[in-house]
Amino acid sequence: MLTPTLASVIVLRMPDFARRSVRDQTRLKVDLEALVALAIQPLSSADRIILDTPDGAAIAVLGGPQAALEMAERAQAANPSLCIGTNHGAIKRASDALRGPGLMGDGIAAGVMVAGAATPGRLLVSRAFRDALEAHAPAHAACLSPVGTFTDPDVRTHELFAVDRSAIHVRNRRRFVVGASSTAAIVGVGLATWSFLRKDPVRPAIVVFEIAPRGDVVVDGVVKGKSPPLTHLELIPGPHKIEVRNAGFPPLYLDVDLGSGEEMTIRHSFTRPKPAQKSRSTEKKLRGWWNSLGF
Amino acid sequence: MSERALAQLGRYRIVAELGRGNMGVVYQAEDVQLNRMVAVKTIIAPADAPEHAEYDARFYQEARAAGGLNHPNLVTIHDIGREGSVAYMAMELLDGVELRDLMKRGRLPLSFALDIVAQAAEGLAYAHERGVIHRDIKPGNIMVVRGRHAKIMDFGIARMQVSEVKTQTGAILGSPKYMSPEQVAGRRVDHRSDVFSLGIVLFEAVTGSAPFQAPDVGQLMYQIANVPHRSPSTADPALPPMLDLIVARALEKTADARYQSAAELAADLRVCITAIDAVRGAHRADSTEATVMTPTDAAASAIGSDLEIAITGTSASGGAPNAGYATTVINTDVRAFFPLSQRFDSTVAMQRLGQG
Repeated sequence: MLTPTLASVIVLRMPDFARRSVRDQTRLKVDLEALVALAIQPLSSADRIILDTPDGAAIAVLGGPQAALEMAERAQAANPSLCIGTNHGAIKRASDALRGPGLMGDGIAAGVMVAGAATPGRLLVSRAFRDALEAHAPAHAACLSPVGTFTDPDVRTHELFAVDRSAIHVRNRRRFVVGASSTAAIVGVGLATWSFLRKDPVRPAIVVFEIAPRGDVVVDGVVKGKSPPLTHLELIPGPHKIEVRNAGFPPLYLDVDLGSGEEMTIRHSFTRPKPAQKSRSTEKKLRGWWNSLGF
Repeated sequence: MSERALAQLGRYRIVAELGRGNMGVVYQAEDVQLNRMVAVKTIIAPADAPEHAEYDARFYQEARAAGGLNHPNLVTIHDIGREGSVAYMAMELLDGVELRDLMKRGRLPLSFALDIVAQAAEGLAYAHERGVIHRDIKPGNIMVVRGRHAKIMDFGIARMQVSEVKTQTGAILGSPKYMSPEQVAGRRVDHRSDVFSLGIVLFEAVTGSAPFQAPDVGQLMYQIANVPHRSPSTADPALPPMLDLIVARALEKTADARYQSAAELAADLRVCITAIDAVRGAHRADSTEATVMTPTDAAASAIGSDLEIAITGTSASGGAPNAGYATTVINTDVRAFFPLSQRFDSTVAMQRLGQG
């Protein structure tokens, strides 16, 4: 008989998922899977199990709560619209007669409840997770501040903690410098004004767009609008995936890691590719469309 | 009147028997007035006099409503009538095969299955807009003609069939495989019940197996009403996530959470089909690269061939989701169990968990 194992569980919830059209759901699901793929990259395949939830995904991390917290932070930074809850508790391998293999246990069930209490852009963790983190990595546990209690529909009260962003910002700064330099080298767009001011409280980063003739701006899989008229966006500091699309042209992809109060300018002109490249461009567009539909 | 003695029903001269079911017999017949061939379906009424009268009235009411429907994806009803104790319905004679017979071979090629179900959904949407609910959508009531054209049959008499089964025995005799949660619970149904039933047909067509599987009718009805269905991608991970979501929306337990119209279901299926066709077109255009086909691609290009059967067989056995897992649970609480994502390989960690 299988015995339960303690694990950290990150639950990624897409708010209002059930109320959206299937086409929207498909796009969100594909974006979420891309995000999960990125978030789990640092982990060994022996250390993570990916689960489906009705409105998102859950990641059971067997590599310790510190790795789980870092993964949750990456996920939150990549898509601030997600509601993320993290718990530490028992999980057990099981198989459902209809839905196949999976996991069950309070580690996941409580994680789902914590994610249910989270709002977009706010990463919440349970008391159990905080205690586990403190036992494994006390310095990291210091980043967690109590934010209150939440009583779930089963009348169970959860003590909740949130990540103190100012405390973790110092860690993000190192990643930012590496990320920014590699982006400039690969994409070669104009990155005009950089501000390295680090003042508490954390201030939003500003991304200015100078797109010719125009393009659709997508940040972390979420469409933000056309530029022009869109001139700038305020983003939460941290890593983001920025994409600028114009039908018929190869899209511009950027991976950025923004600091607090930072300003970045993205200049880009969509130019028509050479005739020999047309079929490749068309295929890429089709593939993009295909991917956006989850194929 | 004896069914065997039938040579003429009204103005229809019986030519041949096409099929026989619980409700009556379907004949090929000649309309001697218009000089055209039709299908005539007889409906045997209950012997009990009061029940007979009620049955008769309902038959004419339903048949009249269905007779007003004119849509390329619905079988056209030409005429209704009575010959002695036998009520009959004359309808368009179709040269085709029931979807049920196609599905007996296993899963259908993806594009083909989506197209047939989308057509059926479009036909249903037309009927629903005119206030007619089918109530018995199943592969046996969807005819595929000329290879790719779907037509829904038995509008108007489907309700009679269900009613007869219940009233004569006090229990459901047939399989509730395609029934909606509201039907198995005996609640009032509306057009969204047809959407659920078509969702079951869709699942079965693209995976080759039913979303709910139980050893007896009682457990099957319980599952339909209470247990979350499995996703099509559990049977074949190559199926697109959008299809999982379409099926999930169609199979919502609560009608309010389901597609609110069959037209919405049809529209989403069309998007899915267009995307599949576009990518296949891109693959075909790229002649410089070796062709790499997914099982679903291959199945789509091999309709009717041995290859399709081989792929279906391989996929069905390879997709058995429970292999190697000792603890099997039947869920009553959606929050208690979470299935593995089909998009990520968690095998190594699951094995590690098993050793713990």
